[in-house]
Order: sequence, then C-alpha cells, then structure tokens
Amino acid sequence: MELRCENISRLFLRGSGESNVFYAVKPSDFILCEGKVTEIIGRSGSGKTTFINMLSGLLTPSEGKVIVDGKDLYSMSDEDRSLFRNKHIGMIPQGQTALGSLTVLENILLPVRMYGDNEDRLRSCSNKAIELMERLGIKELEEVFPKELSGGENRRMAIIRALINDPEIIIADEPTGNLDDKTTADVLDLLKERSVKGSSVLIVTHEKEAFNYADIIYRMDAGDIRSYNV
Amino acid sequence: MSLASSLASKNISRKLSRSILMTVVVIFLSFTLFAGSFLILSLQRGLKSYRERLGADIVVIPNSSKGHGSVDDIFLQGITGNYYISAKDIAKIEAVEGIEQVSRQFYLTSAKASCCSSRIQIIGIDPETDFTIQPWISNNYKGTLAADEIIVGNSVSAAVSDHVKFYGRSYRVAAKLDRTGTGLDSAVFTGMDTIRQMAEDAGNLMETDAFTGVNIKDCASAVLIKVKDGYQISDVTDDINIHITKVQATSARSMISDIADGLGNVSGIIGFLVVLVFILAIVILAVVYALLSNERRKEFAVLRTIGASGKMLSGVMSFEALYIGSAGSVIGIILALILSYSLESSIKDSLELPYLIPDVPAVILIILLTFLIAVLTGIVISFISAGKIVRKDTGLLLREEN
Repeated sequence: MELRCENISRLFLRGSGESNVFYAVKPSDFILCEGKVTEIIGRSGSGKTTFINMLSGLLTPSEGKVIVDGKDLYSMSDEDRSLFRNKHIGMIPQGQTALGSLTVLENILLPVRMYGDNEDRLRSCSNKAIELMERLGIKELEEVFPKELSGGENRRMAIIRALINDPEIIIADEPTGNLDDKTTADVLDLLKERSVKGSSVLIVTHEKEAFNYADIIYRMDAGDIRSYNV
Repeated sequence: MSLASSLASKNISRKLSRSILMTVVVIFLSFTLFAGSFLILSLQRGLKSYRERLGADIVVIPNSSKGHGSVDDIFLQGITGNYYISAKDIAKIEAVEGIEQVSRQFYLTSAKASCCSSRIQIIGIDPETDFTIQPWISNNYKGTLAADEIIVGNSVSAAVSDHVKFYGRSYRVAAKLDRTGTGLDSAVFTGMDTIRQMAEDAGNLMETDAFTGVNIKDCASAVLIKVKDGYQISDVTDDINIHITKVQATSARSMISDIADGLGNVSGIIGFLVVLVFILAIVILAVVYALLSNERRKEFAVLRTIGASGKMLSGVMSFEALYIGSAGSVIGIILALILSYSLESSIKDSLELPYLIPDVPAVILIILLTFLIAVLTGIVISFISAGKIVRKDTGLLLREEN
C-alpha cells in the first residue's frame, strides 16, 4: 500500500501571539513506497516525529493531504480513521508505550482485540506474538507487567505490537533506541523482511547501521524534508 | 466482554489504590444522598401521619395541663400527663356555637406495666363519637373492645392476645396498631369505661393524687372538636377561650403549622447539607477524573496509535466510572440503610419531631435514585474529562509526553 503526502505542513505556536508561529514541517511532498524501507534521518527537533505523526493519521496537518489507498486520511471520520490505522498502519511511537495495567502479551494482542476479532484469529495472533517475542528475545516476559521491563524490552514489545496485525504500512520512530547491537540487527532484519513481503516501511532513526537496510533515505532539517544520498 | 469494558476492569483491579480512592468518594456521595433523602422523607411522612392522627380542628385541654404533658406532647413525643376538664366545662364547650362534632379523650399515666420499661400514656376514647383515633384503630381492629381489652401502639412491647397488667388488673391486648412515627406509638388505647376503671384502681392504689376532687365518671382530659361548615375555626377557638376560663382551646392547624415549621427548618438544613455534600463530591470526582485523565494522556495516546477511536477511549473511562460508581454506591447505600434503620429511635428522640421511616416502595425508590445519581454523576464527569483529551490530536499528546 502506497502512502502519499501532498504539500503537507504543520505550524505550531511557540508561546502566544501570531509572531511566534513556526513551521515544524514545511510544505512537503512525500511518497512512502510499497515494498521498500524508507528512512528519515535528522537532528533532534528537525520535525521528524511531527512528520510521521501526520503520516500516521495522528496529527492533523495545517495544510495538505495524506492519501492512502486513494483516500485522504484526514477527510475520514475519527471512527473510520482509527479503524483504518488499526487494520493498515503499524505505528511504533517514541519512548515507553506499554499500557501499565496489561501484561506484555496482552499489550501485544491489544490491536487484534480492539475491533473484536474472532477467537481463531486471536489464537493465531497469539501464536504469532509468541514467535516474534522469541525472535526478539522477550518470550519469557509474556506474563510480566511493563513496570518490570527494561527500556529495551519495552521497545521490543512495542515493535511486536505494531506488527501483530500484519499492517501494510509500518511507521517506526526510533525503533532501535535502547537496544543492543544484536537486538538492533534483529529488529531491522524483521522490518526489512516485512518490506520484502510487501509492506511500506518508514523508519526514523539515528542509527548508522540502519542505513544498510534502507532502500530510500530522506534527511530532515528545520522542517524541510529532502532526498539524501549516502 | 468488549475491549473498553475489559480494559476498564483491568485498570481498576491493577491500579488498586487509585480505584479505592475513587470508590470512597462515591461511597461518601451515595451515603449522603441516601441518608439525607431518607431523613427528609421520614420527617415528611411523620408530619403527614401526625396530621392524620390529630384529625380535629380544635383541641381543648384544661389550664391545669400546663407543666404536665400537653396534647401536643402526647401526640408528638409520648410525654404523659394526668389532667382533667370537669363535666360542667365540657357541657359549656359542647354548647359553643359552630361545633359540629365533639370527641372526648381521657388520659391516664400508667404505673410501670409489664409491657414497658417506663410509664406510658393510656388514652381512653369513646368509639361512638371519636373521629381522630378510631379511624386509625379501624385499620387494625374492627370489633368492639370488651371491658378488659386494650389496643396497643406499635412501639409497646406486647403482642395481640398478651395480657398486660395496669394497677393490679389484667387486660388482654386485642390489637396492635400501625406505626405512626408520633408519641401515639407508645400509648395504649381503651374504651372510656375501662380507662375510668383504671383511674379508680389507680386512685385506690394511691398511685396518683391526680383524681383528688375529680369526678372520674364525667370528666375528660381533652375535648377534640370538628367545626361546622361556614364557621371559622379561629372564631370558635376564641369563643371557647373567652367564655370558658378553665380550659385552653388551640387550633390544630396552628399545632401542625408549628411542627411543620420545625420540620421545614430541619428538612431545609438537611437538604442544604445534602446539596453541599453532593456539590463537594462532584467537585472531588471532577478533580480526581481530571487528574486521572491527565495522568493517562500517554496511555490514551498509545491506544490511539494502535487504532482506538475517541468513542472507544471515552468508553474505557465510562466503564471505569460505571464499575466504580456501582460498587461505591452499593456500599454507600448499604451503610446508609444500616445506619438509618439502626438509629431510627435515636434520630426521632433527638429531633423531637414526628418521624416515620418511609415504606418499602419508597425506600426502594430512594435506593434506585441514589444509585442512578451516583453512577451517572461519575459517568458524566469521566466522559467530560476524557472528552477534553480525546478531542486533542494524538500527535500533540505524544509530543507533550515525550
């Protein structure tokens, strides 16, 4: 599934007053290609997270459109956009994103249960979750609550949760932060594998190692997104 | 179970201290609502019952009753007294213009009887002419009282067919009356001949000197009057007070209105306190839910990233409020029920007002309304708190939290 942005931008107010308006993301066109790993690099505060939040349907652009599967994401109702995100977009936000009242496995299966999928699918997704947990080295933590997890274990849980519904679009914000070299490689392998199977993968990262997995790289500077040649 | 309800129950059980705090607020709210409503309704029902029992337009008692129990005291608090109007004065009262019906009552304070831990009031009535007590008695007893029979108020510890001794003579309990919430609940009723016999026995046993110089056969303690249509109650009352010096006539309406005023004041204070506590509980709930919503912005943002709609998030909060509200209000109502029933007599004594607890359908109605108000208040407040966050772009929430 291809995701296309037409002239999207995002303005923010710094403090109060119109003079303090600034562009977090300047008007940009962007295409996330099907079956490719696209990476965005850039310094902190360059607008990367704002940009991918707009792509995921989580932040309304100040102008422009985000078109997925021929539909403008922001012309959909909240219910439709939420359902679309659940079924087609796997989002890995920055930081610790586990729900404290659920175990690791319950957290991972949350996107499957969200729209009341049947027991057969829940069972098969549960098996898939165990496989992925084993692959990323957190299988023994399935019944553990998030407060007992390290930062790296928490990240791996969030990655598996984003992949559990086999989304056509995967958007990952610093997915390998807090991970050791081996686990970083495991995660990037996994994301690359998904792109080979047809998913459109977008990774925001600082890791140089990630460049080896990228098909397309963009660089973001002060809200401006441009093609980047390694 | 839907995801929203399952998430809500997990949030409650796994964030126990937060859940307990919120449940305590709801217990506080529902307890106050129930107990306050119960108290106000009991007072209103007591007044209604008192009005029905009094029944007359004018009550006449002798001046000598001052310092003893007045009719008001007997009816309201069960304070007993022995005082009498002579046959001559009764005849004068009955001759006043504008009187449609007259009923005499004879009061006698008992010596300690087998039924009761303290002295009680025995009231003698003439079933032929009585229009105040008799209709109430008719609810429980249709027959004619024999000379050795009595009827007891609801608080008197004697059952039907028991025998109770007064002044050395045994009397059979023919009926027990419905509760009224007034002093009459602790009184004993009998016919005029029987009470006069008791008075004679009391005099013979030297239990009282109240009958010195009194012709027991013709006197009465109080005369209750119904005024003819077309006559003003105040005119008839004045007429009696001006022309018959040894008695004091009081308009029943003024007695009731005094009590109604007292009751209005007490109800007003209770109502004010209930509203105050209700507002306080709403403010506490609103603050708690607002704090909770803020604390859970990240959680909500994460749920949004994996596809939860705004409606779903509001659903999670509403289910939490529903579960906590249900548990809290059930506990609060049970506590208030136990307290309201167990402290019934203490409340009645301390308020010194007619107090009759509501009947079962009314209690069920208060329970349902309290439950609904407590639960709905929580749901509405949680919905509003969640709404503020749900309306915000998830990207902004994530940006604020990171």
